[in-house]
Amino acid sequence: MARILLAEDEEILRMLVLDTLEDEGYEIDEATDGQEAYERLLMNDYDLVILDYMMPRMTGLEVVEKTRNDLNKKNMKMMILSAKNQQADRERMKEAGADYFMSKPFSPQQLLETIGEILGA
Amino acid sequence: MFDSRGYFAFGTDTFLENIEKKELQINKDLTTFNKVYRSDEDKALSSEIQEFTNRYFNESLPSAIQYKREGQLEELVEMSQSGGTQRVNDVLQSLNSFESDVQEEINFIYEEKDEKTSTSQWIYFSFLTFMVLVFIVLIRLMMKQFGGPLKEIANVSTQITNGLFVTDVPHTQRLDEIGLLSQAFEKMIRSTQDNEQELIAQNEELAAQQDELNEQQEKLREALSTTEQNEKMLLRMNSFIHSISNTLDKDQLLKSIISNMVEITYSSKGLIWLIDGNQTASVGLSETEQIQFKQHFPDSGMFEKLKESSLSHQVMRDTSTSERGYVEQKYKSGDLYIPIFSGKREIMAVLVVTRIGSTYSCDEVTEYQGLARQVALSLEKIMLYEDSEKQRVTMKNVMNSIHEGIQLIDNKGNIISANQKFCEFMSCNLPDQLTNMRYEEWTRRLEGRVQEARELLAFIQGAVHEKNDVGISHVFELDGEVKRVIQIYSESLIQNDTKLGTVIVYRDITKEHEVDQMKSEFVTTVSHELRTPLSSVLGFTELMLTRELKPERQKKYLTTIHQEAFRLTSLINDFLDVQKMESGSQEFDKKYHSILPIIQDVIDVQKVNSDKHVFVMDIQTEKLSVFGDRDKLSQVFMNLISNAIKYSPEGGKVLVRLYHTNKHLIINIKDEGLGIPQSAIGDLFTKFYRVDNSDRRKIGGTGLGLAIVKEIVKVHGGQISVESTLGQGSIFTVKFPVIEDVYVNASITMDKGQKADIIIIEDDRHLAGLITEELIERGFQIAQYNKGEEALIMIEKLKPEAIILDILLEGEMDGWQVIQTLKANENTKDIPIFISTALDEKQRGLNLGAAGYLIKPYQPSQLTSSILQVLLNKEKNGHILVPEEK
Repeated sequence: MARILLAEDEEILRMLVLDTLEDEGYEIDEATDGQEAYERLLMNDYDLVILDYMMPRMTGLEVVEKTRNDLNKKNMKMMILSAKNQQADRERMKEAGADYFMSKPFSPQQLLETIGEILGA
Repeated sequence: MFDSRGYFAFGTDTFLENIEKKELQINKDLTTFNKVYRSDEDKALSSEIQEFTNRYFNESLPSAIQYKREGQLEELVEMSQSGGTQRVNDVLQSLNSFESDVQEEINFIYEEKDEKTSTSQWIYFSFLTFMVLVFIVLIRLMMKQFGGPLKEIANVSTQITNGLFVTDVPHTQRLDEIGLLSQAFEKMIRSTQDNEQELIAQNEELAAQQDELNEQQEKLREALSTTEQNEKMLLRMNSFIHSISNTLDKDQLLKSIISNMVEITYSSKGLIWLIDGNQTASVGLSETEQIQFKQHFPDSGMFEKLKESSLSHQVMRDTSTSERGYVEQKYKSGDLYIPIFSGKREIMAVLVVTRIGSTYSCDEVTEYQGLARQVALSLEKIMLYEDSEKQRVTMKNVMNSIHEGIQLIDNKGNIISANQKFCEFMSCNLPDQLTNMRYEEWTRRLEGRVQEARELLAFIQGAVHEKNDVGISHVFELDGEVKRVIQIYSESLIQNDTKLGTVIVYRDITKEHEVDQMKSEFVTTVSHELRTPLSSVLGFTELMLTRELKPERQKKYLTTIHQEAFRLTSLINDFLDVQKMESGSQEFDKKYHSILPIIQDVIDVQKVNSDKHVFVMDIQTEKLSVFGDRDKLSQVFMNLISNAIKYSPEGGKVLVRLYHTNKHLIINIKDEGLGIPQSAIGDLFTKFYRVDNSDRRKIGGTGLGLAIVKEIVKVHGGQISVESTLGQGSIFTVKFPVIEDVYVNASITMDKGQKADIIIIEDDRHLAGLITEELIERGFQIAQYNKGEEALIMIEKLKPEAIILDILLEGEMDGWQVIQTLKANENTKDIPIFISTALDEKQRGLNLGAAGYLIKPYQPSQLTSSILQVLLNKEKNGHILVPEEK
């Protein structure tokens, strides 16, 4: 089954995403901030990384940039899940190397479908 | 001889030197004698002396000297005795004999000469006498021949001189010189007489001409006098104009006018009164006299007369005692009143001059009226100047009071003028320092303080050369102690189709810029803060709707949804609070509360959310009362204590300490958390301000909490401040005005036997009954009215301790009018009024002076409690009785 890393500083949102995905059989690793997420990425490979944008220590954007540039994990799927949904923000995320973007508030069903598409593809 | 004998006797060489000199002298004398001798005897004597001399000096004397030198005195004596001395004596005798002969001959010659001289004198005297006699005879002959005719001619001359007409001149017939002289004299007389006739005629003509000339001269003199007078007048006028035109100070001008006028008009004293401003200046007048003039002259008939006639007017009068000085008798003086009219023919000043001892002539008055026109011109000029100066100062003040920097530049870009604000932008002290500053200089100064100067200079160039489009503006950042954001725009200054220059306006939009930035950040923050709980709410509800969930999970999800919904509500309430505070519509239900249970409740709630923190209360005072809105006070401490928890994520002690000073009840909330950077402390209570606005901020929040706290504290007459050390924690300090502890609760005990009357003005009889019942139960005496008019009469009589007032009443008056009437009455203004109404206009009621405001429906016990609190508080001030509790 696909392995997913979820980085989100809001505990309740982590629970929401976790419950949504685990029920569908995904294997989830959790990180509570950007720095922790990056450390997990140093040690593991994931099929998909879901990152919040605004997080302590390292932002989601910085994690994407460092993963793409320093870890040489060019093919790893990376999704940003953020309340920042302005066009400029999306462009910055795309430039940094994020593959997908989903804005908050989000539909768990829609998240599942999107992940299904990403991983199925 | 004596020298030779001296030598022989004493042997001194000096004698030898004398002998040599005498030898030379003897030889010289002999030579002279040889030239003059005349007889043979003289010749023989000369030869004898010559021979003796030769022998004596060449033979005898050298031998004798030789003997002396060799000491052969015997030979020397022998030589003397052998005839040497005798020979000398012989020669001397011959010489003496010769001298006697010569002397005799001289005497004979003198006698002969005296005889001849006597004879010559006698001959000379006789000749002289003869010559005198001859001369006298000749004179007499001359007088007879020439003197008589000449005298006759002289007589004729005298006659002519005396003006007599002479026809004949004597001796013209003579052929000698006298005849010629007479003929010439006669011709001269004829010619002179002819000339005289002619001269007389000419003289007469000249006299006539002279008369004419005299007449002309008289006329010219008169004309000259007039011209001189005119010239003097012009000089005076010129001097006057010159002397009064050199000042722009009104006081100085008035002094100058009056002192010059007094001098020019030869007056003793004078005064000028400027109607606009009731200002005077004088010469020779006391302060009292000036005041007297200012007080009485405007109402005098003279003033009206001057205004109507537009002419000067003279008053002739006897001199006063003081004006006469030491002179005893009275004499006349003139007071000349000269009106000064403006160009619009309005009287603007009056000039009065006084001539003691004489009066002013009509010509003088006319002349002085002419001067008055010059005075008017000067006064108008200075008034114009003052107006213009006033306008200039006003304009300058207006320019300087404007918050925008304003700069007027000419068509080359050089500064014409600038205001204070622009001066501040340019870091100068006074705007005048910028006047006339060249374009290159001021743009260089500006350029040094602007980051993107090229764009700014391009804009200014566009303004100078009128290339900027209408409405175009440019924004730049100005470096300095505080960075400023300036918006600049320009307008051309055009007069009569000619561009005079350009006005450039610099608007400090730093605050707006900051607010814009803050708003932008706020939108981002709000978006984030709202989206996060919304994600949970929407997400979990979707899961519950789309999935079959176990009851435990359902409960867990519902609890989460509830919490997140609560979080959303708090956020929305914060926004609403801010909005209400800004619009001034926030309502506060103030009562006396003990602050302690309020804080304790907050801590109890917060404890649930945090297991890392230890809460400690340190109560050092008993004065714990605060007059305020319980919910809002709770909000203050909820916010501060939740912040203390949020910003100490690692846990630690949260200390709440209460103590008091003379004026304040002070509450400290201290944490051991992250602390606040010093740079952020100044902005901490600003709306939407967050210490960390970055994307990786650790702690959420809208940046509204502390702004709301500050506003609530302020409304309660308090203050809030913060101290913090980064990494060690923060202390928030709230101060409220200290209040003696009047807090009462339902179990308060009242003194027995005390009565208090309460009047209820209420048209809802059911409610009135309920309230009455409740109050009677608490021991009050009640009177009830349903019309304001009736109640007012009874209030005056009964003087109740409190009034309960409805707003909508039966009768003409409503509750607002009743409260206004009561508060306006000195006897009733201190009675506490509790408004009991369905209308939500609490602030209006409190503004009118209500002690309490209850919105229906409410529990009657709530009203009683309010009344008791107020009455007890009043009692603290020594006024009121509290009813007995039953």
